[in-house]
This record gives sequence, C-alpha cells and structure tokens, in this order.
Amino acid sequence: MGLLVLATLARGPRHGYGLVEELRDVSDGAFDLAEGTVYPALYRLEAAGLLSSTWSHVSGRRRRVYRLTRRGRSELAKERREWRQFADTMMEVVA
Amino acid sequence: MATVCGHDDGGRRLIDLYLSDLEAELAFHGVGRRRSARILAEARDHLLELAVEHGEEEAVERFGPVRQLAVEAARASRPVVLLRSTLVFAAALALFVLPLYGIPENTLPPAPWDERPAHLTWKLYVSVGAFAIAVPLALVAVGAAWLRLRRMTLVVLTFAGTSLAVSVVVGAIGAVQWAQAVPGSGTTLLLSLSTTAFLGCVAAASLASAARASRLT
Repeated sequence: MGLLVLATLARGPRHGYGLVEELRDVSDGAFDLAEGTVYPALYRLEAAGLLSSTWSHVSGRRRRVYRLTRRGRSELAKERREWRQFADTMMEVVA
Repeated sequence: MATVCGHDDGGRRLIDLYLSDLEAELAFHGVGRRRSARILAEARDHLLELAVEHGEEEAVERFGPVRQLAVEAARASRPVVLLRSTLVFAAALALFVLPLYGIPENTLPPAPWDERPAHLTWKLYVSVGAFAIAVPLALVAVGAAWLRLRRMTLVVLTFAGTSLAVSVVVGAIGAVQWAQAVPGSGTTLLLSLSTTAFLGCVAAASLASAARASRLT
C-alpha cells in the first residue's frame, strides 16, 4: 500500500479521494480497495516523514492535500528498484 | 442512480451514522481526539464526494468497515503515541528530583543523631541508586521511541519503570521511618510523598500508554 501511495503522489499532490481515483484509473480498476484504508496509510507515511500535508479549500470544501517530501522521493526510488529487482527475478523463474 | 441524501434511522443521513460509528470506534481503539477529528473530517469529505457519484449507501460501503478503519488508524498513530508516552515518562522522572531533593532539602528539621541509622542509610542509597539507574534508561527509551524501535522502547521503559518503582517504594518506607524518628518532619515528608505519588501515577499511566501503543493487533 505504501509504495502504491508514494507512486501515485509522485504524479502530483492529491487529497485522499483524488488519490484513490487515480490509483483505480491507473490500474484499470485492479486496485479497487476499501477507500477508507488509504487514510491510515497516508498517516503512517506522513509520520515517517515521507509525505507532508496541508488543508486547502477546493470548490468551497476543505481538503487535506498530500504531497511527497524529498525523503519520500528517495524512498520511492529505493522501493521501485527493489520491486523491479524482485519482478525481474520472478520473471526469470516463472517465464 | 441511488439517492445522494439517503436517510435512515429516523431521518439521519447514512453518512452521519457512519461517521458517528467511526468516531466511537476510533475512541474505543485509543485514537487521540485531534487525530480522530482529522480522520472524521477527511472521511466526511471523501464520503460526500463518493455519494455525489454513487449515492450514500454505496459510498459508505466503498469506504469500508468502520472497525477496520479504526484499527488501522490506531496502528498508524502508534509511533507518535509511543514517543509521546515515553517523553511524558521521562518528564515525570525528571520531576522526581523535586520531591526527592527539592522539598526535603533545607526544610527538614535537624536530625537528632550524629550518624544516620543504618536502616535509613541503606534505604536512602537504594532509593537514590535505583533512581540513578532509571534516568539513563528513560533517556535510552526516548531514543528508541524516536527511532521507532517499538519492542526495545517498551523493554527499556519497563526496566526504567521497575527501577523507579523500587526507588519510590524504598524511598517512601524510608521517609515514613524518618518522620517517626525525627519530630517535626512529618508535614514536609507528607508533602514530598504526595508529590512522589502523583508523579508515580503519571509515570505509570505513561508506561501503560506506551505498552498499549507498542502492542501489535
């Protein structure tokens, strides 16, 4: 979940709803999760210093917008490398 | 399209019911008031957006079970709770200097002996020694909590709490015996013991909070 959230926010700052929508669109509906569970993941990543967030007013509604921090970007790069390595290894075995 | 402003249970909107259930679950799982308010605000915003597109019933369904959300929110806030509890413990420990030295120092009447009785001397040394052990342990626990080493924090904090308990109990027995042996020292030592008891409760509560925060679900 953490990697998915970081990767989605790398495309630009988003609030929770926008994040879930983007995740669903990009995955063609494969990641259709219980939408509320994205918030604990956001809080965990924020507490770890990988995200920052601010309240902003959009269309008259107050929303918490999340963005990647510098530390979040380097963590994402690290996790992407590890994931690619894992996927490559799996492909070598199963392909 | 499903109704956007669906009503249930005597006219209350489904989203309001969901949010009030979520609020209760968050409180039950020990999520702090500030964090809880933020979760509820974000959940409301999210649910209202979902409801515009899918209706309230589906919005609530898609958002997920309140218990699951509350458990995960509690788990996410644990590092913060653990660090805060550990800091409160360390602060209470630092304040123990007040009843241990601050109040008795220069306020106790002169003792009627040239050399302090042995049964008071060893209690004094044990009490101060145990306190001296608790202080660095509490500092190590703060460092471990800062580094999110949950298990280590709890172990070190437990040792610090045990040392502190030994210091307080032995010190309290010594204080009572001192008050019996030295006329006029009762009021000062009672004030000292009351402050110690209060700080002991704060330390015990913060230790319990840290233990709860470090527990896995």
